[in-house]
Amino acid sequence: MSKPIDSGLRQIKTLLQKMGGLAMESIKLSIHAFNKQEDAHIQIEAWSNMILILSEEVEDKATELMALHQPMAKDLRTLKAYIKISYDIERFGRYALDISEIQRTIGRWEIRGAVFSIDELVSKVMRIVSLALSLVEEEDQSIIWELASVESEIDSLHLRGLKALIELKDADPKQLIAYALTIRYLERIADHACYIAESMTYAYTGKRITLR
Amino acid sequence: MRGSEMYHYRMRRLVDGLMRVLVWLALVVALIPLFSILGEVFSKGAPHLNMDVLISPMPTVGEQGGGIGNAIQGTLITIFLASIIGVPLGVLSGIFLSEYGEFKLSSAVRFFNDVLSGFPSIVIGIFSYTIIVTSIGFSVMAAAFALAIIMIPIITRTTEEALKIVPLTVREAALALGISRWKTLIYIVIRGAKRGIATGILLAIARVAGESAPILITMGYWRWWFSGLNKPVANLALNIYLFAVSPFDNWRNLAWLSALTLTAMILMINVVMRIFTKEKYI
Amino acid sequence: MMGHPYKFEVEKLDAYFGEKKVLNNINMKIRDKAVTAIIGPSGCGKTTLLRCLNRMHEIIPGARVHGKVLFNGVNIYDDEIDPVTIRRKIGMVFQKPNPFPMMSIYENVAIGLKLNGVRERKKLDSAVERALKMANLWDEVKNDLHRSGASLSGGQQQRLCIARALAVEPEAILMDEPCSALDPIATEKIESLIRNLAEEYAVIIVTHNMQQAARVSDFTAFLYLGELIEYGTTKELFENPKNPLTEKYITGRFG
Repeated sequence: MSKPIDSGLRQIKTLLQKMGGLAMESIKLSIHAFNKQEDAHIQIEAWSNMILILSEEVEDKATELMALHQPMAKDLRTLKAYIKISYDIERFGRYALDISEIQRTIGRWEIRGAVFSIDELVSKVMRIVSLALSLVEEEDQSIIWELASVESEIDSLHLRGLKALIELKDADPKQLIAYALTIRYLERIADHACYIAESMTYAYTGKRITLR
Repeated sequence: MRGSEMYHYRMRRLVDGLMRVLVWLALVVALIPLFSILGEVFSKGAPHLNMDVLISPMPTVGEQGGGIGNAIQGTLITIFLASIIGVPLGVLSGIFLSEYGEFKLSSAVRFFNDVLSGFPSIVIGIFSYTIIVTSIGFSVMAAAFALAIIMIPIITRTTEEALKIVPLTVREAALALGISRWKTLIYIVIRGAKRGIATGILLAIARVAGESAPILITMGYWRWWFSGLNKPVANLALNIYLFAVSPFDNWRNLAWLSALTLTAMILMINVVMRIFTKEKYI
Repeated sequence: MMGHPYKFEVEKLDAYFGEKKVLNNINMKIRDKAVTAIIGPSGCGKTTLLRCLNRMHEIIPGARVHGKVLFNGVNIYDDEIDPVTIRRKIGMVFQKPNPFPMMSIYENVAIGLKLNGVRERKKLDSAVERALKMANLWDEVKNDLHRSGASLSGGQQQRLCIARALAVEPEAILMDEPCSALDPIATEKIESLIRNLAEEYAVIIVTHNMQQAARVSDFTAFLYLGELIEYGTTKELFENPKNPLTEKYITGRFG
């Protein structure tokens, strides 16, 4: 049976999907620009601000639904989750913007000596973000387990990356800082993807889980 | 509005107006006898009204003057005695029907009560005659007994209705306060229904005050003052019957005066009843 | 009262109207000094359950009860227990305000004590004042206590009924949809009154209105077709119900 609150919940979900799409694009573009040492911050800033506006819309709509429909049980948990998730997605955009601004802040760096790649970390992070967003779309227990394993891989990649940077001989200090910050930001993005999964799991099942 | 709609609208208005005129006419026609009776009784009875007639007993043949004092006394005594018997019995049966309705007996009681209230009063008079008059003779007791039997079904019915108006939730509230069932009944339910019960009693009194047939059968004519329960008393309604057809002027005047007094009594009872029921209770 | 953390303990309670079973094996413990709400769709037996707690169920012809209800640890359905005494100890407030007809405000509150043998005028006066104050009605009626109880507004009448129940100094208060006939402002007054009462009494309230249960109660029981489906803290039951039936009912998706 469909209830008046259902269409409101669907509207919020659509907003979150838009936000998620923009966030994915922002992350992709920021990494692409980072690797090529190009400046993409204007585009990413624009997207990030759009995400911010959408997240305010989510908050308004959620508050309105709470006031007018006084939701209970799953409806209530879902709304709570949506409000938290809109913040998590907003963080995706902000971290993408942070990555895009590294080069503007510390200047271009030279690549000397051994090659250091973040490609694997990036692909895992993109994976975990899309997993998290698909969990917002619909309930699927199997996603949670995949998500947990990707998260632990990201954690170890993050640690290994930092250690590798320390051992990088004759590197440009700017390069070291740039890479250290980027893998840090990527790891934070993965954390927020986990928060999203935790929130949605609570919304769907009422069980509180911790993925990290 | 289209033409046909206009036509129907006009027709409706016309029928509406006609109906209203008809209803008013019916009301006027119905009120004419009431007011003409009141007017007649008042115009014929009032001129002979004075203190003397109200306190002197009725005259014998050929005697001038005389009054209806003994008839007023007798009527009041008869009604009083009838009430002593009829009111408690009626009220208690009403309580039984309303509060102990779960017994199978009660629907039978209700049925016979309704039948009794439709009985011709003369039949009740004959019943009283066979029971009381045959053993102690024509007497105020026999008359009061007959009138009481007429009163009982009226009081029973109105008491039952009045008690039923008190909502079930009020009874439940009382029980939930830890008040026992009989205390709830006496102190709360009956209290809530007392106006309705009083109305029923007054209604019954008004009804029997004007009865003449059972009086005729149980007491007959008596022209003296009250002189014992085993003797008859005079009666206003009977006065009218006896005096109206008499050849003496003063007797006929007394008949009109009796009619006026009786009408005034019943009117007064009705007014008192109105005052009782005016304030609505929930 | 010592040694009984629960005011009521319902054990294996079945209730019937004639042959029809309306409550099936109810087991629940109700805490003192807290508000417990009973919710559920119409006809689920929630009012019956409430009325079993003060032996009001049995006054309906053909109604009967099996099982136990312990009140302060004593089974109120024991043979030697007088239901009249039990009802005195457990106050009840009904769906529609039902002040006693033809009685003043004062008499409405005092009658319970009067009919239970209290005659002293002073005692009655102070009991009436205390009860009306507890019911948050005193300030509104103190200047004309001898006005008819029926002349009050619906919300005031309901508070009068609460005062009437409090006057006989009960140990617990049962409320059967006390706000269903009231407007939102009167409802709010009764709700805050319920919260205040929970500081001294075990309050058990049956309600149709889930938001009301969520607002006023500490514990909530969900009844469906005469069975206790779920019982727990109000927060948990409304945010995170364990039973899918509860979930469906409280989100309004009852099929």
